Amino acid sequence: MNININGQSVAIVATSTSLSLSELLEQYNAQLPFAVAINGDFVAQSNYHNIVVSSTDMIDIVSPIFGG
Amino acid sequence: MPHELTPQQAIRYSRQILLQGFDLECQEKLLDSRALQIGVGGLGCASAQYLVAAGVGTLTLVDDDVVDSSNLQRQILHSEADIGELKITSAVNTLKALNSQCDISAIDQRLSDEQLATQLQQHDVVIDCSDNLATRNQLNRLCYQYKKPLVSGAAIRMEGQICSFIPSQDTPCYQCLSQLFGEQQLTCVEAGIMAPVVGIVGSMQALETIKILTGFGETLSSKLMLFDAKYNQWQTFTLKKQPNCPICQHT
Repeated sequence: MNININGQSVAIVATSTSLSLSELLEQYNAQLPFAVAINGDFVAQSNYHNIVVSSTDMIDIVSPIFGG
Repeated sequence: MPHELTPQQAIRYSRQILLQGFDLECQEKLLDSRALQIGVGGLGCASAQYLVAAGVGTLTLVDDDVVDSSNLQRQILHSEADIGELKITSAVNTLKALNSQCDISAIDQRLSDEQLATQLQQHDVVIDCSDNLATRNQLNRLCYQYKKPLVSGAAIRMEGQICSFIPSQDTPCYQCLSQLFGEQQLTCVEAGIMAPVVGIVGSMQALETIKILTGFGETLSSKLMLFDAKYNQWQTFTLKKQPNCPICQHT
């Protein structure tokens, strides 16, 4: 299925009937460190594996910024 | 008793006083306010410049760094003649020339927890313009402890972020945000920074600070605003209190 990640439509293969956020991040090859927001809400890392992602979700993968 | 504007001040700040809902009252609140700003680098130069021009009553700057020629590209309170001098010296001189009525002071060292706590109790708001995670965490921890609003800004490459943390039972703290990531530190030295990006983020921090001090408009509490300077996008995210946060879930 196609999922909107950082404003781009990305083809992601669901290996089972539902796609978890951690599966998506693995396939997208997201490089640590990052935080993830689904539809504008940030998600705790501990929840990545039990969050089910659908094709209507907007995913944002955000890098940390500390510079001043 | 709130500070009453003199006729000269009413003229000087007339363009803000004209703003519907800001009025004389908010300008007077601003003149009575005390802001503590950590860092006079890229973010801090922009933030301090607008706070002082806009009429904040008291501004205390904290920075132990000296001006380097590589700072001049974006740190607009320092000039060529200031290279090798303390950043706070050039910052204070430039700011005093901008507004002699603002009570500006500076501290040329990194503050211990104890020193920071003393400063926090003498100020109404803290502006985090620092460039490292250790300082950001220290400010958050003490601001939460002393219930002081914290205006956090950060920038790198072509990206910026702004967020305000106003301690309460329901609002998240900086640690709630930073723990969403790993523990990587990046500074401008390693990654580069486009000059106006720090100006934009620092200006946003000044705006947030004015809003918090005066109660005018809506702040970015529980929200994170990200700026993508490369592709001209602003995004606002919702940030919730993290159930396991070691700072703000401590009862």
